[in-house]
Amino acid sequence: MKTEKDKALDDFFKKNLEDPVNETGYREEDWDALEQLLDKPKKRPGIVFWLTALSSAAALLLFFGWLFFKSRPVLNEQQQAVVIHHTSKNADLNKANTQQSNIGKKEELKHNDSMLTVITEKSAIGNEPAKKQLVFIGPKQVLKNIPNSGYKGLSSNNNQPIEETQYSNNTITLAATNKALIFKPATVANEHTTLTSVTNKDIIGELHKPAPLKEEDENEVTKLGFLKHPQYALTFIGAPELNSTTSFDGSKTGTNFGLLFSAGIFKNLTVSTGATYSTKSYNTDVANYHTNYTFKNNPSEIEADCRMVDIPVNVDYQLYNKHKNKFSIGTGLSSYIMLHESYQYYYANAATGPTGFTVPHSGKYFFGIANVQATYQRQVNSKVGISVQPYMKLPLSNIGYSQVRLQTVGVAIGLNWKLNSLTKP
Amino acid sequence: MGEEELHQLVQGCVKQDRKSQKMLYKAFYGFSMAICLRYAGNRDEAAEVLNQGFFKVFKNIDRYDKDRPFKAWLGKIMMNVSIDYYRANLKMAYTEDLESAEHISDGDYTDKNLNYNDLLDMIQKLPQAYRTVFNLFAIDGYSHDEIAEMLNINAGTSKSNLFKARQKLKQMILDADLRANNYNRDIDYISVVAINGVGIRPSFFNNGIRE
Repeated sequence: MKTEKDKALDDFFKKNLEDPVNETGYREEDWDALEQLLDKPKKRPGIVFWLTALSSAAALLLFFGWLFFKSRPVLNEQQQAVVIHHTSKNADLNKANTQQSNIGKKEELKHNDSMLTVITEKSAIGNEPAKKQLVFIGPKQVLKNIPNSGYKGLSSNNNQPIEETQYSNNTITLAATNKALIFKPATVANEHTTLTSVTNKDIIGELHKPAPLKEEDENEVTKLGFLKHPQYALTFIGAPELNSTTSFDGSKTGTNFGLLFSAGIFKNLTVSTGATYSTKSYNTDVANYHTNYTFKNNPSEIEADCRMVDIPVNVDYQLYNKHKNKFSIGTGLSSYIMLHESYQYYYANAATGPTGFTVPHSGKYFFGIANVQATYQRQVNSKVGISVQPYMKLPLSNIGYSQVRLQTVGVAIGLNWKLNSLTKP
Repeated sequence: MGEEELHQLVQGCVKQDRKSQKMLYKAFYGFSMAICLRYAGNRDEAAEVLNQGFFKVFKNIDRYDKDRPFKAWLGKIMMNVSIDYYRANLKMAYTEDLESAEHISDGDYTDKNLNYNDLLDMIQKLPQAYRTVFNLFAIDGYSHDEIAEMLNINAGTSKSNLFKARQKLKQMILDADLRANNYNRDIDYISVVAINGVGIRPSFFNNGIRE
């Protein structure tokens, strides 16, 4: 009896609440709130993944860098050791031939008709003995590990209509095995209301299982892989860098800053270009210095000071883009437009010659440099992001008046500004 | 909305087209709101849950099986996000002991002059824990074991919450009945003294007597 009364109460509510006579009116502000939700960047990812990705990229970069510079025909450690050994062994024999240079304080040793220069102490002009440095670059940010909150498997095989009954005169009757009562939209006609009862209990179980969500709608693509709404961004970068012509032993520091424009046109691919002002100074020796001018006495050391505009065209492939973090690797070509190019010559053995030369008409070197970079970008808000980008610039051709093969490594810090508001639908 | 039109909208949503999303949202706003409203405490809360539901719909629309009724799928998601919301707000949910809950008489509810808004109002006045169980059991047709699993409570708690929900609802129906009867009596009385009482509320009249 009591159960029947309870059932009557339940049915009373069910009947009235399932079929509101007047559906709640649509509010525009509710849609606005949802739109904001849809536009919001994703939650932050797990620290483990991106730390791993970043360290692997850094390791790769270091490894290739090491390979590249190791393969250069330079005085390696063993050779240097031999030379130093000879220096001490033959010090007495060559005493007469060996003297302190007025300029460079260097010891010169003639051995088997080959001339080798060994730097034994800090010179007066600032050349330093060979040093090896291990540079460790790592991000300091600590991110929370928040799991993805997606859902999967929204449909169920058991979601079959069990019973379908038609009633006239607007009578609403429930199917006997009902779990949820649903109106089928298209079959309502002539005051006939079709009721479909479904048992889709399984759906709920599936629905609560987390699964990776799809990319944000900003990554919508067309059939050809083009992004429907290309993402444009401006990036201001500043970078300290190391420049050299052979190995990075004895390389000199320079700076690089400028503005880049990037466009995400394809899915996961970003093309960027811009201009940066770069000051590059480096040391080289005569072997790497190729000019028509013939020195009477070859300088032992040449110091170059160059200022140029670097115009890169790079393509970056996005390996990771979750929540506020993006990680990409890229490559491209750079053109150098020289603004200033001057050289200082330093001689050993009290030899004399020209002390310096400023190139009167600096040249332009198109696509003479290959860029390799890895970029980590973190979005601060919907518009602004910051990035850290270790990069290498490898010579494809000889650069400058002296036709040197100039190579650069650096870490660019960037401030990004998204320009996508104009392209939003 | 016709099947074909719905299919096109869903296709648009699969492509994450914002216009299609808005059209789908508008088309099923009322249907979804009806579900969210009876699980939520008020309109704003319901709107928040509804948006969470549509967010999931748009993110997972490619998993929707076109051979099955869209409303069933949508309704299930709305129910699920409502339960999620309940879980997320468990700390805020409170349970209260019912005083004199045992002695509420059972009447015949079908003759009550109560409409959708009255009943929705009653459901929303229930404490969240009672409301959720009552919705799942009485309206959505789940068993206590299923509810226990969904809400991470035991079946005994589910039964107890359902019992308390029913008692409260019965009480509210009785109260509504009483108010309606008082109102009718007031009208009668007023009509005797030949005053048009249509615009006079019973509270106004009662206040006069107390003074």
